[in-house]
Amino acid sequence: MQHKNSIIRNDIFLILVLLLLSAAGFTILLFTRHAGKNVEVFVDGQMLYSYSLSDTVNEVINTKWGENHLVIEEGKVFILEADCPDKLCVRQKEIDKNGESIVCLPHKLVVSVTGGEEREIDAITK
Amino acid sequence: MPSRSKNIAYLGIMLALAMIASYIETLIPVFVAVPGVKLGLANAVVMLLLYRKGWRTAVVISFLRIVLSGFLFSGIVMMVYSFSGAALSIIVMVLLKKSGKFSVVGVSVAGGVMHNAGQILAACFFVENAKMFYYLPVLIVSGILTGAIIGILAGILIKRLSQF
Repeated sequence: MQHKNSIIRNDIFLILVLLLLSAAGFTILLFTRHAGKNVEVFVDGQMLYSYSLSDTVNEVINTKWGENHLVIEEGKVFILEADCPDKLCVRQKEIDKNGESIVCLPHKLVVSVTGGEEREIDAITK
Repeated sequence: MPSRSKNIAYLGIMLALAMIASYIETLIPVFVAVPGVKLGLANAVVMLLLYRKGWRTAVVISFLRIVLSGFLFSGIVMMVYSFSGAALSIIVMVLLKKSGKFSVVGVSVAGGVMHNAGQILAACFFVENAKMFYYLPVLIVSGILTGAIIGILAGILIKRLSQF
């Protein structure tokens, strides 16, 4: 049986390591994100539709598992409505940055923003 | 042997409790709109079993809980994610508990984070989109928070239900 203090120390160490991992993840995301250009819709791993972020889209996407109402307007993408049980895709905030995505797990649907200009830092260093 | 029937009754109650916890969770609104963020109340029951009845019992009850609540509340697709999360989470919790180096809260925090990581892995596999890792940092933080809350709760349960 270990001493109680060392157990508490281990707990804190574990939490700190996890927090550090998460902070590293956030930092990577922060530095690799920039305004995107295209919107791609994947269902079950297959790309079904592709739009430009500047398009105005108002479409219901049918998947084998249900429907998601996709809206693109003013350079932002969001799901207006869906008939999935958890509605998390509807409640996710609108996306417009490269690499961001909206996911509806029950319908195996992923909407992601791709492409776009280079990162600002690269542009500056050039 | 009366202890055998007592054990069956006990596990039945625990399974029912875990399922109620799953149900209550569907009633709690999720504050962060990221798939996978939830309290994990049922894990308090799983942890109680892990500490009181051993890992085999914890694994069996956790498995049954996911199957039953999957059919009742969350749907079959979500069941796959739950399995993946729960599997990774239980493996890590059993190992950390065996190591004897962590408290109930520490074990629960690791379990919470691993549950989320497991779900992301399953999502990457089934939705076939590695972009799911975009959610990992948020899910690590939420795993730490919910894991700590559940760990404290489980600690109380383990102490109070020690006579059973």
